[in-house]
Amino acid sequence: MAVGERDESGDSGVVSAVRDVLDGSLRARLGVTEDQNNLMGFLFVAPNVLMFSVFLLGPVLYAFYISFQEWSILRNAGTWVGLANYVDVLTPLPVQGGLTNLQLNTSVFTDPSVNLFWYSLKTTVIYAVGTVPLQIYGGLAVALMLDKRVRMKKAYRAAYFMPVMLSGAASAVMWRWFLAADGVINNFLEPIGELVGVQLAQNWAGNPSYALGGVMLMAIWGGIGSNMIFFLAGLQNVPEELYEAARIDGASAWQRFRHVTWPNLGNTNFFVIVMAIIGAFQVFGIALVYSEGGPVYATTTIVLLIYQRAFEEGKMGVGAAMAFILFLIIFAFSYHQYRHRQQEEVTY
Amino acid sequence: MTHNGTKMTRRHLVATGAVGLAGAFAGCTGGDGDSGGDGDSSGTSQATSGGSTTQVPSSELTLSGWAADDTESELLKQLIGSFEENHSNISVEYNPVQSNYKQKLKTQLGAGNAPDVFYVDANYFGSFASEDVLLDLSDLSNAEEFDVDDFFQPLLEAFKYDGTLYGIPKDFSTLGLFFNTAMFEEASVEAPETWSELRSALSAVKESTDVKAPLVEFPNARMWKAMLFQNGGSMLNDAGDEAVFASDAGVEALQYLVDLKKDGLLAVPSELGAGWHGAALGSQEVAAAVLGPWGLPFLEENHPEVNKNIDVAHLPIPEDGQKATSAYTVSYSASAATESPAASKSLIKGMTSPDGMAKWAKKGLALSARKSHRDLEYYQNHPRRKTLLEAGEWSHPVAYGPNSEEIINLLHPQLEAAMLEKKAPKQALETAQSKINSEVF
Repeated sequence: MAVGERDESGDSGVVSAVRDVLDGSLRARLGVTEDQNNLMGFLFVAPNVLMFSVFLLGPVLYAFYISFQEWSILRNAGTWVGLANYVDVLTPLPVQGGLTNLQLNTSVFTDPSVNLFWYSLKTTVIYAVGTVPLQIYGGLAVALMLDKRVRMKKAYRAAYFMPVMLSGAASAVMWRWFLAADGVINNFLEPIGELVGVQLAQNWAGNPSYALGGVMLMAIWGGIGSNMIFFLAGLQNVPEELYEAARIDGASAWQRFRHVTWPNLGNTNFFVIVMAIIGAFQVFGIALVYSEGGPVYATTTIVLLIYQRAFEEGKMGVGAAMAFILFLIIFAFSYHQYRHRQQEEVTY
Repeated sequence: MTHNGTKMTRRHLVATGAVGLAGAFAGCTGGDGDSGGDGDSSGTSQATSGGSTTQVPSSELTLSGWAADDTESELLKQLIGSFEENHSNISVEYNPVQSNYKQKLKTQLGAGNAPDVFYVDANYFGSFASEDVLLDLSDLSNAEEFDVDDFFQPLLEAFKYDGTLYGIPKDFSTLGLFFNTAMFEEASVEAPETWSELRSALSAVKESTDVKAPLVEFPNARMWKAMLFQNGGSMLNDAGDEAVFASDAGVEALQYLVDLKKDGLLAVPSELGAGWHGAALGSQEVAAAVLGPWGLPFLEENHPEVNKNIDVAHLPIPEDGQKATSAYTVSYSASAATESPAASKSLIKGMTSPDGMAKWAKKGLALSARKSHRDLEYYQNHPRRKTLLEAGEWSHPVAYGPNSEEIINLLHPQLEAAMLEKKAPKQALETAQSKINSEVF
């Protein structure tokens, strides 16, 4: 979203405050004229641009260069291999055959020994589909509850936000204990299972069928808190008079949510969705600490695979190529969201 | 769990235990160091064994490695101190790395500012040596009063690349059978010497004790690598350019472990309350585990009562099989780009000299890499460690050339698949073998 748009939507108090100050005494004191506004602006952002270029943009471009090389980190040198790394990563493709008789090659998604990249992409997509909606709408639900007059509202907010402050590694270790074969969760599940006659207690982390579920549970648990904060901020921005008008018109609680709250949360919603999808595709730390990508590749996400290739096996070129493919995937999703958002922009 | 993972787990556990261990260790190793009973000729031998006082120009060296805890780095500093005393023209700065040692070292080597002397794990030694970043240490093979033949041959071989020596073993660990003698007595069984004896011992223990499972093993079947060799198999062919572990020997060994698991005689740590073998033994959830010397300080410190009942035996072997175990080893190597190659070699020699090695090994976490140290008083007084030390003779380092880590990353998930009964052992090993042969070699 362009800066200008955001100004009009009114959620950029800081920008206008800064401008007010500049318009007033500060500008006069500094002797800055209207034309020099740009220069001041650049000065303000210069430190950030500089840090960004040196520590982020530079390395990213260098990684792009490395992705066309067979790169040795030990010799700090490489040999140009063109697209070979990309071909290595992507083949065999999920589709095979010519243009006329295109066939789906599902084995790349079901058998990790056919192509681990596509398999880990599938794992990551399952993770994203399973976590993103629950993170977002769980966060929204909690925000809606805690936006009302609730006793000990702040304590609840702090409690829900707590997981966000924990490091991923710490929460992964914690959840490993909870989900261990003789962990807390099984202690609850066992008696319930006995009552209903089903084996509910499982070796959650050690079983390839359930390991990814544990990582997803952790992500949802952590994601609800951070999204709650964004939605709470969004809810503060919904003008009270809209609710008053809706009440006068006899709107029910659901109608007030559907036609007042929801459209007004559009910006927040967009931001939260984009961030959640990006975060889901980049999942790494919790999967590494919780189960190290296993058992039997069950939690090998794309970034974990990149880590293994580049930093364990020293195949920097292949790792960089994977990273750029991942970038394209994330870019495509974000761009799609952005276009979608533009189409449904509402104004009052 | 990847191989790296296993190792990390090991190191992590040591590191996490370190806080609690530190105090007791200080007592233990301090005492050992002071008594120094068996190192009677140490002073003189060190002075002469350095032997490089004449040619080595004045130099400042940096030494990098990792330390499991404070006592370990203290001990290393003491060793460096006594080296410096005997080499007045060399000063050594010790820079231990707390985490991500390998990644940091790789970056330093690439950037051309690596330490002069550093630890190299056998597992990634091959990838370093094949990139020509290590200093040729062949001189040390002939160095006076160094007695390179005293090192266990398999360990020395692990640090050769194309026949050239690029590292001297700092220490090593082998896997042995740790078992709870009280439980074995309760079941009226003795330390098993063969696979079938092991199986019947485990069955008897399961019958007569209330352990959760008689034996614990990681889902990636760490002990399988040793069993493969016991059964006449091998990881790679003689030329080291083809994986050959999916042989009958390998399949049979893996099938043996899978059958133990199916019959409830073996559990993976995630099925128990304990995260690893040492904790499982200590909490008496299991009666036996295939473990290395790093388990001993943990048991001694955290489970002193149970520890009294824990004995260590050589790994059981198949009938008509050959003695074999896995070894994990780390070298002192030097950077090919060091400005002080002679001083670096001298430092490596000092640290791994008979005397330096003896002092280091008394830490008790890893074993001396020298055969003659079997006769050290320390090992006479620590028979469990002596058992593990003896196995150095027939050990097979877990290191498979320049692509060792990739090989392990391809192998472990397949071993997991077999142990978790997602794949038949034969199919799992064949998948791993063909992947390795097509992607690595």
